Amino acid sequence: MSINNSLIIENVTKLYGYGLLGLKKFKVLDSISLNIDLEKPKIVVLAGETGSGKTTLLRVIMGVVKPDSGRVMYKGYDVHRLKGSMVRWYRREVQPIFQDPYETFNPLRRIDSYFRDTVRNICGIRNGDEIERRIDEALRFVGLSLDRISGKYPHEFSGGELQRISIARALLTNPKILLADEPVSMLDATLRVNILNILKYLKEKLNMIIIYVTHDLSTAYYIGDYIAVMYRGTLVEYGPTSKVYQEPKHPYTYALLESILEPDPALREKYPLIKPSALEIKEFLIYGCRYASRCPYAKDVCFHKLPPFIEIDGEYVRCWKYTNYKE
Amino acid sequence: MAYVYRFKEFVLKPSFLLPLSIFIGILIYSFIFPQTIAINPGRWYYAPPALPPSSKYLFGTTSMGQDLFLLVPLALRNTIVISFVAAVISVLIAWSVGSIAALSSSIVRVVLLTLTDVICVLPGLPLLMVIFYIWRDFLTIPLIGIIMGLIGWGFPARAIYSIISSLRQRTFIYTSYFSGLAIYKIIVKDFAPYLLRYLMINVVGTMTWAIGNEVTASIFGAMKMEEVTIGTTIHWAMYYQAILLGLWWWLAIPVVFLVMFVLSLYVLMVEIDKYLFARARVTWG
Amino acid sequence: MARDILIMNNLDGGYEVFIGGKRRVFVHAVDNVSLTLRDSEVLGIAGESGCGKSTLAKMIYGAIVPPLLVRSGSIFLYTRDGNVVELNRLSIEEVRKKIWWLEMSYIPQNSMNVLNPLKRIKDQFINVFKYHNMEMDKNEVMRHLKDILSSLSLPPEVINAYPHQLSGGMRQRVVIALSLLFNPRIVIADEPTTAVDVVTQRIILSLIREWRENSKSSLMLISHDMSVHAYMDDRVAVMYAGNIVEVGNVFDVFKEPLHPYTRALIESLIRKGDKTIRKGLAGQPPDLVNPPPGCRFHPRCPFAMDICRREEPPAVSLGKDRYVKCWLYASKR
Repeated sequence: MSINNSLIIENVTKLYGYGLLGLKKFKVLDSISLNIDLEKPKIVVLAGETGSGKTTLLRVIMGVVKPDSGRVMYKGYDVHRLKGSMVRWYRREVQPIFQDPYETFNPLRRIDSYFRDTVRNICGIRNGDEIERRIDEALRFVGLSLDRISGKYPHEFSGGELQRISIARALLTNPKILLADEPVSMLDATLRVNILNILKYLKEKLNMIIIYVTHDLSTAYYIGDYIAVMYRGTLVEYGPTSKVYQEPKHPYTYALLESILEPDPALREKYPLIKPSALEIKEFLIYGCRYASRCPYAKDVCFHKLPPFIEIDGEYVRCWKYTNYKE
Repeated sequence: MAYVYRFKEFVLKPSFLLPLSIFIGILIYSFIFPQTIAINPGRWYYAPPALPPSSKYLFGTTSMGQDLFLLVPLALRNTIVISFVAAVISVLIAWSVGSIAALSSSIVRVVLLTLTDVICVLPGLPLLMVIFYIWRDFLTIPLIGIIMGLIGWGFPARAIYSIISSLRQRTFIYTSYFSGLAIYKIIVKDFAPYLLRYLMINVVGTMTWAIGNEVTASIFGAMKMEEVTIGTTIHWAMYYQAILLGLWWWLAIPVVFLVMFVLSLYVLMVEIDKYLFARARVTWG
Repeated sequence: MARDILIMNNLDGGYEVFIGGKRRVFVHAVDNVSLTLRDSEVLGIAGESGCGKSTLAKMIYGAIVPPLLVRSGSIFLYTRDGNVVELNRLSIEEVRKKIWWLEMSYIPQNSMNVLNPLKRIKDQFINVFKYHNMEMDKNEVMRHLKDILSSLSLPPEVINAYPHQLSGGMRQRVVIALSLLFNPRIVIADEPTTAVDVVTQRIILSLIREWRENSKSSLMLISHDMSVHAYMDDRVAVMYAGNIVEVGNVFDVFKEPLHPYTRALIESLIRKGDKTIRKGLAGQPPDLVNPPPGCRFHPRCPFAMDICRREEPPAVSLGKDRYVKCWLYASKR
């Protein structure tokens, strides 16, 4: 895996201030490290509950949020230190799609203005016909066309259509990485699958890497090739989706997978009733493993120090269990 | 299902044209018409005193022998100038403070917001009355407006701070950024309609606030009484017992014109806002 | 034989909305719904956003304030002391005094819709007692509270906390505790776990199940998440664009969905450990201001026939507790 063809997230930490004058800090992201090879197309899922920092991590990769320490290297360049024309280059290589299709576009602007801006500014194309051709081409990928969207405002479309339009806009620059922030959570069940199928199709046809953030683990399994599980700002487990699902190594991943309910009433008896833990407050302020207070395997060291990344069986896990609690 | 309409439709709508014509009519009456009169309408006893409206004196005359038809436009003009100057000063200060506070680091922000809070808490009317009374010999019409603007920028600054802070976080700003727009272009294309809407609210709001304060201060006599404004006119009317003497026109006519001015301005603003934001409103008014 | 305790007959209504300040339109969110809730059962109302299920819940719960209005139909509630009350005829004050918290409770989607952000948790509970004129010694109230909270695995410190100091999951559990305080016979839960994460969802659903086993009350569970229905329901009713299109025992509906919409819904569900390509539905739910004529699903239905476009299908009974509203199953004339 060469440095020049990877996305490397190195020890990224982001602090957030609270309290008076924002002087007290807590870690929204704590030493996240991840290497993604850009050679083959794949979908990497960033999974976690609300508050796990997954959206913040996505914003760091996007380049709009600066990490307080650590860096993000894309094809050998530090994403947050790009200057001049390289900034435009990065915006061509990496494009986002967001959770709320109605918030993705300014309700007071026409949809096609975004498309024209993208083609003109990022792709650098000036010729009117060529612009229209590109826009139409991108829209056809998602099952729409330029006439359908011409001159219309965001509220004239349904949520599902608008999300597809959002994907089409991101495709205009032929990006290498598509950053998808929970793109289906605001859509209905029958529409969700359509969007997920589109993403799968794009991955294969356009040779893209998709980084897909979600809290819904069933869609994660359906679409992901690799999965990175996040908890309270730390990355706890990373590996191929099938492996992580079949043999989860981190206690949190295990608990998470056990909590997914199957949409099949015949299976309901296999879910025992569980009791919640009492301590939920202040978990952000622990400096060791964030899951320690809920973990059945936690020992002293877990509360004080974050475990290192350990490679087991093709996966990366961050848990003291696998070093026999030795530092 | 949107209630969107094109610009031409908008300009020709009666609910827009009516307040616009009233507004422009009053402006012409207040600013252009006084240029044509030879005398200073503020002087006393150039007309027979205390006459009701007639064909010769359309709005009647005051107890001090002033023709109301010539007096009211001058009064309106001065009042409008005061309130407009106040609005301009208020916008300049509030928008600078508010936007800098929204876009900067914690220390600068806290300092600016505390300053804004202090201005918000100042008791406007009493302070203005004291200042106007003490300085009444040095006051000029624009200066009155400037002083009001310096005292009244608190709440608009707070509003601009919150509008810009929240606009910054909205997802479509990121979409514009990833469409390759430079920061200044994002401000023009994305922020502008929201800011324009608030600009109108700010201007009209400050103007009505200033008019209210000016009239109240004048009625209490805390003003340079030689100047002719709506407030001073009302003051004199009350001082000379206009109601008891049955000289209703002296009070009613200035007040009616003032109300028409403020109302037409307000309705204009509402119509412009409805037009600008029609495309964002889907199923609710 | 389980008794009916809540009966909805031909309930029809929606929202009256003003557009652009002038035009008045009617959003027909509940179209001729007939449904019954039995003693000691869990009835699920499934459907996607905008199908009218929350509106139905609000009508049942009695929060019928403009712009919501009930155009026709009735809701009958069989109270604990054997009386029958027509809920849609009661005024809101009567509903508040006699029905809420005592006969029927409501668990909202967002806990902050119930909790007063300015009051400590213990004061909110005490207020509910006071409102229903139940005088209890303060110490006894506190003990009772601590019992309830610990049965929901909430630490005792929660009593003195303000709502914003608790996490979303804890707040939702507090709201559940509040709604179960007087052991109502009917609990209406409107998307109780949508706003919380998967682990907390599991906890909350387990708690609700445990409570039901102990108290034998009925639960009307409204959710768009089919796995929640699979886990909790005894019977499930599927709603689309204001109509109930299918009702039946949950095992039957999941195994053999009859209505084409239910079928598409079940088919689009992603199961754990399953990567086979799933199919979704084309198009989107109809506009409830101008719904399509006849069957509201016909524009998206792969089996639409001519009569579907013209006439609304009747509710066809297909055996024990099974109803479908579809021309495919109506006997041909």
